[in-house]
Amino acid sequence: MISIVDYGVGNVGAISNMLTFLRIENKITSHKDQILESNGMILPGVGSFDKAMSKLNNQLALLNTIKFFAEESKKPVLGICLGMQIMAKESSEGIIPGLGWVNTQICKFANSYEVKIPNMGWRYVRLEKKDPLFDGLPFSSKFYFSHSYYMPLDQRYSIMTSENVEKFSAAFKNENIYGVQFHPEKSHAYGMKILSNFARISNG
Amino acid sequence: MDERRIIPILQLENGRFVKTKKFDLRNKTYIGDPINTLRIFNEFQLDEVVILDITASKLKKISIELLRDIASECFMPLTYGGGIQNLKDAENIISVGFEKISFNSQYLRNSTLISETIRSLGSQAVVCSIDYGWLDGGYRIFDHLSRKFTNIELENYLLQCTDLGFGELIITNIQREGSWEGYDIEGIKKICRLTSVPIIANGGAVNQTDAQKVFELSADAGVSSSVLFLKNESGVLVNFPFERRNQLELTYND
Repeated sequence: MISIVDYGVGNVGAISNMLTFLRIENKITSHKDQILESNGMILPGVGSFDKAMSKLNNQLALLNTIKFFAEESKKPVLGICLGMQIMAKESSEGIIPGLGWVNTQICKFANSYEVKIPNMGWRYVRLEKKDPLFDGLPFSSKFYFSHSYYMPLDQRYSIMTSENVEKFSAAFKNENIYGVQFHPEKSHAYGMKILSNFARISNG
Repeated sequence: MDERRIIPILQLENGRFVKTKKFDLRNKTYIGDPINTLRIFNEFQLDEVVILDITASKLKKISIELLRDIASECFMPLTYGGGIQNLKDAENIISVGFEKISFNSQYLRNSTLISETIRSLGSQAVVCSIDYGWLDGGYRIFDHLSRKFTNIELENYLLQCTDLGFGELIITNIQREGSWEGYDIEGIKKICRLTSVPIIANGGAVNQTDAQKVFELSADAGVSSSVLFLKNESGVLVNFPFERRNQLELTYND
């Protein structure tokens, strides 16, 4: 079973819709036992960094549960969009520290006349490293992105990249922790591949 | 960039999709049942879909169950507009599986709600739908509710929208809407110069050449049309002449 953490920020419905369509057992939940007994955990997120972090900080039991899941149980975790960004140590979007599951800092795209911000729409991506999360993805895959902040490239963690004003991390991996900047739940067949791979990684 | 978006805009009225002409609600054609239409769009893996509920705007009531059903098997970005009264409404729409909510001109009177929504959901989730047209030697904003031109100049309005922090602008020239005369290229050109926010051009499209003209103006613009777009086998977007299809359906029913 995959748990989709409901902490009051996010498009939980859309993620559950796709998993259900793929016949992957899933639960939108903020309940400690349900999260801990799940095989994989999805951390969604829409909105601003500080809002997401303060929502988590205000639900201490939930925060401790997801920390335990990621840091102690070391079961697979997938952050989506803002859910990926709050896994960083901090963000230039806010002042509240992130979860710190990946040693990096979220930056804002520089203003530019040539490229419009937010980075919104379908973007082709580049697979930088072979990973089970990408199994079966076609060579030129594209995903739906919608963000103004990004995770910078880092040789240690970046497994997929995309480009706007500059090249950025479209997906990262740090041990059991994955994060994707795009919305797999809104990326048709490409997104289905990512979510079904994550479920396979989690459910074994 | 290969990421140009082609986005159908669908208007809901009493739970059915309709197509208006020049924003005139008396002049409309029934397109189809929302669930089936969206299912087809989903199968064709369309880039994105915008749904505007005319009835919800009028009655200030959102058909959240219908939106939930629409989103349940629709794996592309969805934008919703119509009848949003407060932040809770906006959050509910996002939570059933929509990515973005759209506010139109009438919300100018309530910029607090817009700021509040942007603060809570982020710029990327909040779209401004701008209806404009040419009047007395300039571009003016058209008011959705009263269905009249305001005296607000498009230029000022755009600056205001950019300042408020909208993540995207759907710009519709109401004099072109449903006219099949092509997009308002001059207007779009002007708008692109005035704002750095991504735009979706709407109103008047007939074919891909129209879309191409907009893409040449702004590499990352989206184009939209409320005319049904269908993909043929080679993946090229073609226009579906639904007026003819309706005739066919009539014949079929006979």
